[in-house]
Amino acid sequence: MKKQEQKTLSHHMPLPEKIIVDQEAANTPLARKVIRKLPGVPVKTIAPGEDISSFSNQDKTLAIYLKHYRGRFLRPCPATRQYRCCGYQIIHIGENCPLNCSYCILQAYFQDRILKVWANQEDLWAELNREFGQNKNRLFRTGTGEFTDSLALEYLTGYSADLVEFLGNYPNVCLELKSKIIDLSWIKKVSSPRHVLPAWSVNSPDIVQAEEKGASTLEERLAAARFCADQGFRVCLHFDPIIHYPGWEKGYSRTVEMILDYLRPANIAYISLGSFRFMPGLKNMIVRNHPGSEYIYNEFITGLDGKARLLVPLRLEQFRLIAGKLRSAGITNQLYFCMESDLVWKEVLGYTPSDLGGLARHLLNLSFKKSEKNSC
Amino acid sequence: MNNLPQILYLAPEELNLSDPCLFWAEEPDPDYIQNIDELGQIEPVLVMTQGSEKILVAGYKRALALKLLDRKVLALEIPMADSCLKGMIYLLSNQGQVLDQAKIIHALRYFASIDHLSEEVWKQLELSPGSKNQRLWQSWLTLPGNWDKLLSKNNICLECSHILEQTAPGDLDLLYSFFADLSWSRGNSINLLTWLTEKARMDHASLSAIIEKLKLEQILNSGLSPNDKIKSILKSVFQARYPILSQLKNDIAQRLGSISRESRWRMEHKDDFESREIQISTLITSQKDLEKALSQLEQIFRSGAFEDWPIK
Repeated sequence: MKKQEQKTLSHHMPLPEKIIVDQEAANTPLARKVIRKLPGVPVKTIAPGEDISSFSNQDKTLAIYLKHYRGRFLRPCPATRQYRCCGYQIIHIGENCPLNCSYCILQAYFQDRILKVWANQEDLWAELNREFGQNKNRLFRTGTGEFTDSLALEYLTGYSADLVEFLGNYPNVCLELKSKIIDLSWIKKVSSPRHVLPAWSVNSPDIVQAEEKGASTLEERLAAARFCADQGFRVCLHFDPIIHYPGWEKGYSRTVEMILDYLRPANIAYISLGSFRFMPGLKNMIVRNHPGSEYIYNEFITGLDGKARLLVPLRLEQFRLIAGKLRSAGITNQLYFCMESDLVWKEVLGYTPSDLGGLARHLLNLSFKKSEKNSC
Repeated sequence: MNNLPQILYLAPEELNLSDPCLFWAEEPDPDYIQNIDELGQIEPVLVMTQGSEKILVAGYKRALALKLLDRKVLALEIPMADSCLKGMIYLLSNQGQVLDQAKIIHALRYFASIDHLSEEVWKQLELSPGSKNQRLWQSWLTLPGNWDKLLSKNNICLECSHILEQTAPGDLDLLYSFFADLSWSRGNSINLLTWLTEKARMDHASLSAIIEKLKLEQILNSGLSPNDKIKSILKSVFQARYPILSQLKNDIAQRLGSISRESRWRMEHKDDFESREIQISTLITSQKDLEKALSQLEQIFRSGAFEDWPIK
């Protein structure tokens, strides 16, 4: 692997002002690491069965909660019957995010400023070993960026580094690390770039600037993606959420141009396109917490899954423009829609996931495709 | 013994019946007066002495009925209390009353006016502190008092308070006219205010400017029936808030209407264009009806009306 030249970390988020730790997890390597990295930050230890809600976040300070997690670590991505899901497996390492993206669904899921990290990694390794080790011929496409940003707390926890190191023994597993920030410290633990897919959410520069407070700039994300490609990784990009705002055509066109400035099609494992969609309760939160975010007043309807979605002709015009530009640049079968109907697939790409043998299978194939080293 | 409540017989004119703590004061109806007349007063009213006056703090309806019957009022004199305690005594003495919106807002306005909206008051009004309902009432209390009448008449729903409290005073006055004489259902009132407010945000305009642009006051002052006024206003506001969706809905309604015209088939699209599904239905009452319906469906099929479906 090339010598790491990329600057490793930009700390975009404020440091936690409080550490909460489950007594059972207090002596885990992860808990000790976080406590050591936050000297002077008060630590509150929680006895088994004690409720944290009574004292944890009354003052709305940012807290990190090192939890002894008892649930399932590996779970399927929540899909709906009506819209096509990519079928990846979530490796659940924590919940909530320190970034402040106006549209983020995590605001509605977790209505507090407690960043939860599952500190009992031994249990995680045991469960992953059971699942992945049982049948080494079965391929798994996994990721950690569903309930949290994969890298936002990496500077404190080193979770992704631990995970890629652990998964180095499981060549049947491909791990996607999805983020909006830059922290490449995990790279040094990667044994084979083939099985790790660094991924960044991308958006129009206007949206990144106005709505993704605390996140890295688009240039920083793409430069990091370029660096990863140079190291032999293939990267993923996620246009999600695509937002319809005055000037979106110019904004998203610029994003595509920037992607092509930094990456060649062969560097890219896949690119997803997902229109802004939200649980009904999120709207009032955006109105209250982000009064300048006027995209929320667009023409949203209630989709077949009960979530609000942009009216289909508006989605189609955005998808057509972005997909059209990407396809013209040679990014073709790597494109997919996140949670869209066959109707949208057909209208924009001219085929449906079934034509690809199913979206989950198609993406699995793309994930495990041999990487190629390219330079711009 | 001086601290014990005193039983008094008072001439009605000796009583001051106008203390604001009587926030649910209700005029006695003829049946009530007749009952008092026939059965007499079976429970004393509560009074306090303030200077030379006896202030009524509970039992307004009884006291007024006795006054109309020109009878003396049996009263229990309780120690003098401040406005807050008077309000609580009145509230507790009326426990068991059905708490409709009019009653709740009258009580809340009283306690808010004396700056004493305590947790106990909320509980007595069966509103849990911290609940969504309590927040709605707190929002409502920010509105001018003249809006209370509209809430009491059910012309508007309490849930609108969150939107109304964010509304500029001038816009609020204009909105008042839309609820003064029209009784809006819960859904319609929320939709009207939500769409108007959001349209104003989208256009960076005031509500008044949007109302003027959409000529809503003309509809309000037209000769239409109240229901038609509501429908017409909502249609106009919806079209402004959702122009593309409105256009699509109109287009599809026209198209499906023209396809099914002169047949007994009803055609509907229900998914706001998330699917291209059309629901086709009919009602039959006999074998003959069925035969006719099938024949009409056959004609629709042969017309090729769905050949270019879906609409791009």
